Amino acid sequence: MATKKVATATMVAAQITKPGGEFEVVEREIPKPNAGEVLIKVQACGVCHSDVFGKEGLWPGIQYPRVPGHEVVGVIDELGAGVKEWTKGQRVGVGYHGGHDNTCLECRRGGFLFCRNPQFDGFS
Amino acid sequence: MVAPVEALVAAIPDTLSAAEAAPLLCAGVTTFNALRHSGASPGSLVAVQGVGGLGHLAIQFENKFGYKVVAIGRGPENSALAKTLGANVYIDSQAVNAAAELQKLGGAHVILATAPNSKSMSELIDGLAPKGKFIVVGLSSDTITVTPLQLIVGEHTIQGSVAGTPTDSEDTMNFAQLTGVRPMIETYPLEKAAEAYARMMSGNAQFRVVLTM
Repeated sequence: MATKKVATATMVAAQITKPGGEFEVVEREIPKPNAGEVLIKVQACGVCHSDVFGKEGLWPGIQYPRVPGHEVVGVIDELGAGVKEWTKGQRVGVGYHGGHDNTCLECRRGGFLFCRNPQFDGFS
Repeated sequence: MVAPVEALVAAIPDTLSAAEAAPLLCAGVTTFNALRHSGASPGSLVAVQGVGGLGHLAIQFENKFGYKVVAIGRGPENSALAKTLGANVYIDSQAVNAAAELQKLGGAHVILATAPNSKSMSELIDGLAPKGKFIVVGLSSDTITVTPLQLIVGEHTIQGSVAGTPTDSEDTMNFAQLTGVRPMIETYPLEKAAEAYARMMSGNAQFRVVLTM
């Protein structure tokens, strides 16, 4: 039986598939935002020297394929469940700080820049 | 991309294009935050090592903060540009001993090290004034060399500084809006990501490379 091809919305991304690999421009499925997340339609992304971590695989435990970049500007395209403070179409940015867990010792101290379970855009 | 709401940066000024705003989210907040928490006051002598992606923003912020700005670069090429961006003094570290030159000026209250060159950083530590602070933001895995003597006499501090929170980025955007600080950028379409990355790594970009889509 032939596999039925399901049409999905796609986006263009420049990804790295292995440590030290070259950039490949590919079409990828547009991700869905989970609860507490938003989907951003990216308009610009800076290329920073610290992108070497993603490009060369220097970050411990880094997974591939990976789309580097942590100087992102765009607009919110979709809100995940429970997101109230942000609106579709709003202009936003995302930097190196890609998220924190709000529960670790450092976050409880208010130092969420030093979260023990941080997310870093582009390489974790 | 998807991002958790706690990572989002709001308040991107309408006067900034997406490509202009993007570098402020890492290079901008990294230099802005390090400098505003450095303890330097208006009039303080503040040096920036490296006139590049981070350094060209640091010079502008330092100027707007009212510091006496000393830009330190390798070679004479960036002297005029550094002064246009707001440096009061330019030191060519290939032509002279930059640490000694800083001491002739009274010593630096703060040296912000932006160029990822640990040898160059090590050579500058003796340019600090008493109680001076050496702040490292240029990312490298190479060893910075310093002796206990260099730290003890003059009570010098060496510290790192890591970007900032989303609200720190918002403060950076707001300050850029208020004062006219802008990144100098070279833009490439996303399809040329490999070329853009190579350009960034070459060290020859003037100064931040940005992909647009």
